[in-house]
Amino acid sequence: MTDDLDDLSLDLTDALRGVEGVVDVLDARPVVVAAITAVADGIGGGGPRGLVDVVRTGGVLSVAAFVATDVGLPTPATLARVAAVLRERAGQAPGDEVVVSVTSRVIEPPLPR
Amino acid sequence: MSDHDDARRSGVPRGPDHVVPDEIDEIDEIDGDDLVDPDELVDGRTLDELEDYLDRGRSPRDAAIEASAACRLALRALEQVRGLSLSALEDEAARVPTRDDSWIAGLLESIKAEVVGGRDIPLRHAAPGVRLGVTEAAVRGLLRQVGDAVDGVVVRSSELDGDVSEAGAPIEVTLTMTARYGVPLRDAAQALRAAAVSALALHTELAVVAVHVEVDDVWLDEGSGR
Repeated sequence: MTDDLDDLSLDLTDALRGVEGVVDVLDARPVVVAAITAVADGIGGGGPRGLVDVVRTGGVLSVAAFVATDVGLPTPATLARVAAVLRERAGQAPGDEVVVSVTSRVIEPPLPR
Repeated sequence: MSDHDDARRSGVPRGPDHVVPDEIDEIDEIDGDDLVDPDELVDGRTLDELEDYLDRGRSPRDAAIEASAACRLALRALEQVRGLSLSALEDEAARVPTRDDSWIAGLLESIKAEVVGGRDIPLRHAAPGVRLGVTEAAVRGLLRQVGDAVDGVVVRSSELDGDVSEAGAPIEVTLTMTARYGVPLRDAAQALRAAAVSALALHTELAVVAVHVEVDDVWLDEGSGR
């Protein structure tokens, strides 16, 4: 990811944590990328990183998010809210067509804060 | 146990910050037999590591574990097993040694197999360019939780038969449960079936045509004196 996409990923990650029904945001980046990032963070200390995968190919911005959803709320409705937030925020870049994929990979009670 | 021992046990590198000069020679001597089979790992972590993390109350927060869906599902399943009946299961395993593997190891094997992503289960959305879904592992984790709502029941495994990746395809669900001795099995199975149907309707759009419940074992309650 380039710097602007890194920033967008971080912004989207933070935004999703505030969506009703989202228990947590999980790492959607490809496993190899996530592993390399973890090693790099180990060396350099690393700042906060986004967990939403954002890729720009031609004029298409592909955004993929993995989330844990609240067992007490309908997951389809939660994911629709997540998609709306992603489309709104990612769609602010002019000229890009935005394609959004949202997957619930865990359905569980909210964690105690 | 040191971090170095943990690294050997897990069979995965823990990052450069875990390598100190006086350990380098030792690392060269690691016997391949000490490395854990990757199939035994959940996103690079052993179940022992995840249990240790649970023991510490998930604190300090391990960002890599918490961001891994497979680890989260495994943590949830381990938590449920502990909270419900692990002491009873261990007690039963000790009482009947020949069943040791089937009680504890079998349950843990089932958990490890379930937390892998599996098939994607689509959810409808009106807008073009939006794809929503739930993983099969998430649904199986959900079905395991459903058992918590039924007194005296542990869900050992679940299966979704049918093409879950195709919207509207008929799906049959099979739940395998273990019950505490004395629990009316027919009632428990009915309650489990009802809870599963309700949970699947809330969180998925699967066309569930049948939920089969199989009781594969009964455990003796630790306090029952039997």
